[in-house]
Amino acid sequence: MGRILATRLLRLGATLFAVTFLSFIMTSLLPGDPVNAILGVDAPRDQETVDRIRDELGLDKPLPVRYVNWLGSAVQGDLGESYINRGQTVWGDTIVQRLPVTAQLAFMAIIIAVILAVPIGVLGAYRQGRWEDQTTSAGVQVALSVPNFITGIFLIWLFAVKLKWLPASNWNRISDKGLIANLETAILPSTALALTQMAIFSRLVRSDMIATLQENFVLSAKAKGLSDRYVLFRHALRPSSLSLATIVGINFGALLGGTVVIETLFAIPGLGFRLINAINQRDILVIQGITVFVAVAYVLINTIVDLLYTVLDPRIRKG
Amino acid sequence: MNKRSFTKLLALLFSFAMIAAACGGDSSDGGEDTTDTTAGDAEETETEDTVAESGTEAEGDVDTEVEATDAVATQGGEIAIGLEAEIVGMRPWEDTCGSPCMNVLPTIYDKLMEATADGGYEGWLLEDISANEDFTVWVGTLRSGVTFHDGSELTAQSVADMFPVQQEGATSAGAISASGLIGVEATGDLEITYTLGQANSAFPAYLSRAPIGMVFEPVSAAADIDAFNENPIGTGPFVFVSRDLDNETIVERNADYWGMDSNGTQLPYLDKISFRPIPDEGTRLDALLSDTTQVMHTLRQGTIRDARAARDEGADIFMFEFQGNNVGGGMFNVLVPPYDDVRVRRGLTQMNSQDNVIEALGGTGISLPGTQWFSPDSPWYSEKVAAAWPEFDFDAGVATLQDYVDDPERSDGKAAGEPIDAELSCPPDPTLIAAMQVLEQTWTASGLVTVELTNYDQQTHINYALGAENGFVGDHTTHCWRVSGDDDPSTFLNQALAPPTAEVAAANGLDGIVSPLNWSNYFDAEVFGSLVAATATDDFDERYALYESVMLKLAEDVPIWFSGHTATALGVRSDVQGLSSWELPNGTLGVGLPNAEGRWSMAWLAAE
Amino acid sequence: MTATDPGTKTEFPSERLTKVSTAMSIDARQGTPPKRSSPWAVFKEMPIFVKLSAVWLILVFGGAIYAKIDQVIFNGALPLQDPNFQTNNFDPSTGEFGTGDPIESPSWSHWLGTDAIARDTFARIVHGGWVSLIVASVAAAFGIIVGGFLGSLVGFIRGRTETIVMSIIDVILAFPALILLLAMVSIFKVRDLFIIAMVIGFLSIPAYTRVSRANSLAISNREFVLAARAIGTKPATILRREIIPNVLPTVLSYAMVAAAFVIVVEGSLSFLGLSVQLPTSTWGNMINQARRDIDLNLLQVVAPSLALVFTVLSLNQVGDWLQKRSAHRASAL
Repeated sequence: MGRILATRLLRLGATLFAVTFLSFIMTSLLPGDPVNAILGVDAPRDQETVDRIRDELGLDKPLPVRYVNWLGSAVQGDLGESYINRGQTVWGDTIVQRLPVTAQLAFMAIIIAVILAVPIGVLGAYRQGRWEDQTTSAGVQVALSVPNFITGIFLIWLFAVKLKWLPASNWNRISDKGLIANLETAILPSTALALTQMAIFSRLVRSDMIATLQENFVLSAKAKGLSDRYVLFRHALRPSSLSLATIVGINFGALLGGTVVIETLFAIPGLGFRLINAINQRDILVIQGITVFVAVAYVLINTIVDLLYTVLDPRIRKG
Repeated sequence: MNKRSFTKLLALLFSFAMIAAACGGDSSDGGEDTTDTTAGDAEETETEDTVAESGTEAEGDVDTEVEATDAVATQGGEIAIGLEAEIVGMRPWEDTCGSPCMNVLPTIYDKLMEATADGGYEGWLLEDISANEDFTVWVGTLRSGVTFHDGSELTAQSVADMFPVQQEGATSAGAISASGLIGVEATGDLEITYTLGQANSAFPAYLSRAPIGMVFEPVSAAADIDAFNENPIGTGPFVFVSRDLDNETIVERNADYWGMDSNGTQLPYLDKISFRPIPDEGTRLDALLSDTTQVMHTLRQGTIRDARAARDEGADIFMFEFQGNNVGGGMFNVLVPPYDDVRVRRGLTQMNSQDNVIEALGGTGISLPGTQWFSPDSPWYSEKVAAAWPEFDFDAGVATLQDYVDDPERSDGKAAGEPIDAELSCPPDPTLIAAMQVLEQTWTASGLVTVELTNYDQQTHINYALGAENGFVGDHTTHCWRVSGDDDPSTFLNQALAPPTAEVAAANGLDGIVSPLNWSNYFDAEVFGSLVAATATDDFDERYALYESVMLKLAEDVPIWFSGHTATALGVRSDVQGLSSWELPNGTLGVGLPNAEGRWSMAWLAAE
Repeated sequence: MTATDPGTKTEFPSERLTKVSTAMSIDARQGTPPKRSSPWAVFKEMPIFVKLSAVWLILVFGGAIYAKIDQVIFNGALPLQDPNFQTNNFDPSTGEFGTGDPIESPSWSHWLGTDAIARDTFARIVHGGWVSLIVASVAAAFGIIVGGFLGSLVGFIRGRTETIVMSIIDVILAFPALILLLAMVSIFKVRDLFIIAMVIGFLSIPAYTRVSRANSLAISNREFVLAARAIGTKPATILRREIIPNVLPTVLSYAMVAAAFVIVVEGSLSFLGLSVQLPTSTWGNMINQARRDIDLNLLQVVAPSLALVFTVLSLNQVGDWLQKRSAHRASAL
């Protein structure tokens, strides 16, 4: 166990180094200049002002020096400040402020997905091959095939513009506006994200359940005369929940970096929306900070999932 | 719940939603008659006699005109405003301030001067301002009894203390040098003296914009500009409450505001405003239509068209549109062959089917074809220039271009008869791209041009046009561009037509004057001379003649091609009032809402 | 399998999906490669929905190829309208302005109406299939050739090579895929189809590497591989004769599902305005352009959306079915 942990940590360190280095190089290669974003299109400028700003931002130093400087402060927890929104720190004012929003979206999407996916998956497994299974499977296939931006467009059109039930944008933070107002603004985007997740989960539940339903303990439970529903949800679902939990964990991590399009569409102040704005403004340290953060979160969640697996499944621990 | 009733419930829910959607459409259709009689229509009919000269009538139905209204404003209420983009920051001297920002910052900061409906400038925080004979010294008197949000009093010394901060500011430093300002002094309790290094008759225009015109509390600003960003202090009609970047900026009514309306009611009317950046044009309109926001800000006529369509179908909205000096089109980089040859520029311009471009932009019935920098409503507009502009004439364009193509001495080094290369680039906005494709079709149809379309994101686009890497020549050849400015013409033309590179400046004896903002890199000594001369006089007729001569020269040399004037708009829920017709403190009619910049201290909500 | 491998660390949800069926097919397979059958025989085996899906794919991609041939070889002479011709704009062939209108309703001359600048929507959708086809094929080719080979190789030879290769794969996977795409796509000045396909192709490699490595690991422990090793067959020969042919079928059926995902990714990029240069039509950019006019003509949004959804759905259907089939056939052996 100790050795596994050590090698995982070593690989984690190497991965993080590579991720930070590559993303630094890549963001610096983007054409365009943060100084233009700072000055705007129409502001009169002279070379002096441009040079002064470059100097203030440290952009006059060569790339490797900038990277080493950045890395030096990053390991001390200082990810720098936004070039454009001066005074906004990348860690405190950007990531800490925005992570809860993205995390909430991802979390709600997962919850909605699981609530829908479990009954659909169980139904499909229970009525395997019959019309119920075929209908839900077809529905799930469709859900899997609709990109979330299309879902988002039509959700806004239907529920905001036509029905006026829910707002089209204007994120409300729980801390400012309370939970109800927050949920009102969160429900459409998280539903748009949930649809694909629902499809993934329900397929997993269905195929797992089909396998489980063949196993002896389920057959014997049935033979004892327990009701189908009891057998399905108390006996058969339980073994499937481990793999469901795994994929939920992994997809949660993936969603943290996968909400970009939906956040942009609904103007939600999460990490993805900030990232798009930062890319558009060449706000290099913000791009860098968010990319690295998402990558770290992703790697960490995977590492934890792996380690949990090792703990939970004795076969793997021995292997 | 068993699975069967579950699926039934789902099906039921879905069909219910669809039915409700259909009914929703019906009911809003039914609401048509009621909505149309409210808001602007009422204003329009009641007060036609007071329509100001610089009204904004385009062909078709433009809702709004700058006009006075007799309606009595009511106090109270709050609104949410959907803006095109998040603003950079809350410091007028430091952070670049475009149209979205010009909606937010003036709620917190008062400007020293304000633009009027007839194209001039009158005092806002200043009661008056006057210049010496050669326009190098300007003396203004501040309004008395004005206090900052922190309770401290506004004096001439406050304005003088702003100057050192502004000299260091990212955006104000450029504005200071462009305006010619070299010193600001408090010459009395309320008297300010501005000293300029060169004549500038249009100096008051600079006092109406963010970089040097907005008044902030200088002591805390000088102490820590980052802290000031979190807690901005001005004298404006609203007080800053909070800012959640990318999400919401909230301002609340300043109970001690000095401003009054003509009935003696204290401004502002609204209690609270929440500014929301919603970059997606579609979502921003959807937010207005669903009453998620009560105001929508847009600079795209495609969105205006869609909003009008929604209004015509009965949506409870009203469009405050403004057809300002905001003209779209593109520019040639005249330092790059073959665009150094006027035949190429002229030929391509003659092949620019303006009506189709405007249609592609969604501007049919909204925007007029452009022939010059100024819109037909502008006091600077010239019929003579309109007549001189090379209008769409495909055959003439082909002939002009053919002349260049067949020229054995042609500047791009190709053999006679070969088509010229045009790389036409635009930022990736769907309507801009559509417009670009219209041009591509006609240019290609001539058989003389090989067109390559490219679209870069905004920053790349600007960077290529600016060309900071190669002495401001730029890498672009033909470029989508939009020129705009409802301020005094000198504030933008003197930058846009100044020497583009150090070499050009030296060759014309203008060492040290290099303007990166000369995007097309076009320079003509006579044109520049006229522009400089126009800042040395405040006689309107004299200045008009100078600008007319400049525009005539542009129509002849076409470094910039104009497609259409682009309307900008604030779409509002129909009970939001007071945006188009507001007055300055001295009773002069204000400029309205150019570039979709609302004056929110004047906005009010009509009672149900 | 080593202890470090139970989780699937990938950005591509479709890979996660296939993981289950992949594992099933591997466990079931007993050693000999499955028999080949003709495409027509395979088609006849398909259930009705899968058949319909296959027909749709043939229509869409066949149509896209037809449209491309029309454009490149016949210069637009074949019966299909020019996707970029604005029917209201100056027409050089007549020397006059066209009489078309933007956002027309469907008619005999424009089956799906026209878009905001009066171009034929049907022709744009047919041409839009080309971008999806190329992106999907290039991604699959990259994935199968590079990813499939790398995965088979490291799953077989293990050791330090495996650690290094999989670490690199981990680094690429740790980047959020869309962010990486945005950054890479923004770097290139001109974004033509070639660049977009290359970038998406490059980013497809990790997922394929993982899938093929998992299969290769399993196969390397099979009796026939162990036997071949025991009699001293050269590793390169084993890789060529035993490992790759057995990994390939799984990787190929994975390619179908991955292609569906890749098409969605390209659609998202197009929707953000960051895919291929205009005027080239893609379903994503058609949706993006038309959604502004959603109240003026819903069909202009719905039509490209359906084209995209049906294609992705069909790829999923056919891919799933092929995977199930190979698992089923293997277990029957």
